[in-house]
Amino acid sequence: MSLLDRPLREQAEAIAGGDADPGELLDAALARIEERNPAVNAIVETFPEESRRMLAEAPRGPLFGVPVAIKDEWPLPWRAERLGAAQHLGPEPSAGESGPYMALRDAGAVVVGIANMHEYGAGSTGHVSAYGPARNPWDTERCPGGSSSGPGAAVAARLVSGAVGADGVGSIRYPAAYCGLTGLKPTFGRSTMLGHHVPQTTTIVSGPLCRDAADCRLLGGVLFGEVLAGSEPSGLRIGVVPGELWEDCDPQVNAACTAAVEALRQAGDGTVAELDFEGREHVLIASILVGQTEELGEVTPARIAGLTDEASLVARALLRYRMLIPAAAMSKASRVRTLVRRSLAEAFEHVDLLAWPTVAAPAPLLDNPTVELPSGAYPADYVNPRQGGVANLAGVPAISVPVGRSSDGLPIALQLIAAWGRDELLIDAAEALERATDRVWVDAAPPLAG
Amino acid sequence: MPEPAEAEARRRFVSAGLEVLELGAGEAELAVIEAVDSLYGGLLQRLLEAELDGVEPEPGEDLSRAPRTLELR
Repeated sequence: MSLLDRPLREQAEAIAGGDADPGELLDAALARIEERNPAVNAIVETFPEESRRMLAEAPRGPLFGVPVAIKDEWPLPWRAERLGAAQHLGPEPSAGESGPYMALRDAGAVVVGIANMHEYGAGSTGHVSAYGPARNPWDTERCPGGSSSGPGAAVAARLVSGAVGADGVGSIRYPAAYCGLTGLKPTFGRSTMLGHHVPQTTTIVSGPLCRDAADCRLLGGVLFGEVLAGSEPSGLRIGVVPGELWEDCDPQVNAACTAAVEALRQAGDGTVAELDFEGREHVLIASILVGQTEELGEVTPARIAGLTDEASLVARALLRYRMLIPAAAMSKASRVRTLVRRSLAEAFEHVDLLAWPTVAAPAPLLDNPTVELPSGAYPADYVNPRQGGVANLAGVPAISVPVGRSSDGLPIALQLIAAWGRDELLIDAAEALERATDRVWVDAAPPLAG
Repeated sequence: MPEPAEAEARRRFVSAGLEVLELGAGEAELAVIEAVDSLYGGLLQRLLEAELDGVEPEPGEDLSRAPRTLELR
């Protein structure tokens, strides 16, 4: 098996131990991208000279010599971010040293490519991008998830073993779920955000998409600038929220996630209890309002009118729609945020984790990104924030863990949410779940990468 | 889905709003806006109608931490 097919930590260990040559690993990664990327369109740009320069100057950090990809949301010293879009909404972005770039560089990692993303970060499917859609390695006719579509597809296709994404309304967790990966949305403010195009954000965080929880611990620690200690969770108190978060899901998703919660309970000799939080009925709209309007400060009617058909029709229409949102709705969304934060804080006095499916249904088709749920058929973009938005609205950490496969062979994922600052507990719980399921879901490779 | 009369009212709202902003929109853009509004308009309306008077503001909101009022309780 090629070292490229091994997890991030094993690549780092092999190089640190002298068993692998980092230059050869970089060449192998570039060759793998050239060979396999056309099927998934996960990586939109490589820059071998800059990657080799990074390697030549790399310090002997925890990711020394390991190739990683970074979402098209972060500037690099030699390239400005483009947000998966042909035209910018605000001022022209410039190249520079973003926080994630510096964290990777200082850890000795090598940025090997820019990963695709949903246009402007404004979608949960990845089916719209100026580069063309990224494709799901488990079925290239299906969405990889978004907005971190490229990081998800790149890691699942084994182009790299780790990638940096960003999550403002679930944008790390949806691609992790659709692509069978582990994706961590850190506590707000814990991971580096320097150089992001929405510096005033109250929702977006950088975070890792990896093959499993241990790799998320490693790459997450690099983005946090701290070592994330691990421990064996015991006596875990798991809260299961009633209502549509579970019930309005594809029955296969519900069954696999229910079984995973029980496996986690048994693994940690824990408990499962039903527990609700206030404001839940408004989370979907409130998280979208807060998350998707933070960058409107730089948008003017003239800038929207100036968008040509190089920008997608959906983007041009959504931007117009956003300009019409009543101010009272934003104020109400802020109240909902306060209500949800208080209610979650109370909930976390009684449970350690909250659990529900990351997405309500497996990856939809690229040419028809709708999902069939017990309550009807909906665009995936409409339903996904219902499952993922609360963590961004409240600032709490969340992790998506693969826990099954649908009858179509598509990954199914469970989301775990913890209290502020308890990111390590989420990783511990994800590792416990991996062990309880014999790592069958995290070690599986899609046919394209088999 | 909104009732026909409500849908028509919302269509007028969108057209008038864009006109006020001097922001033109083609038929295709208006069709997408209408489809989006048929999904989110009801949620937006329910949010506007929500009684949230009892939710006191969070002093010094810090999204990286639990709400301060609870911590100080």
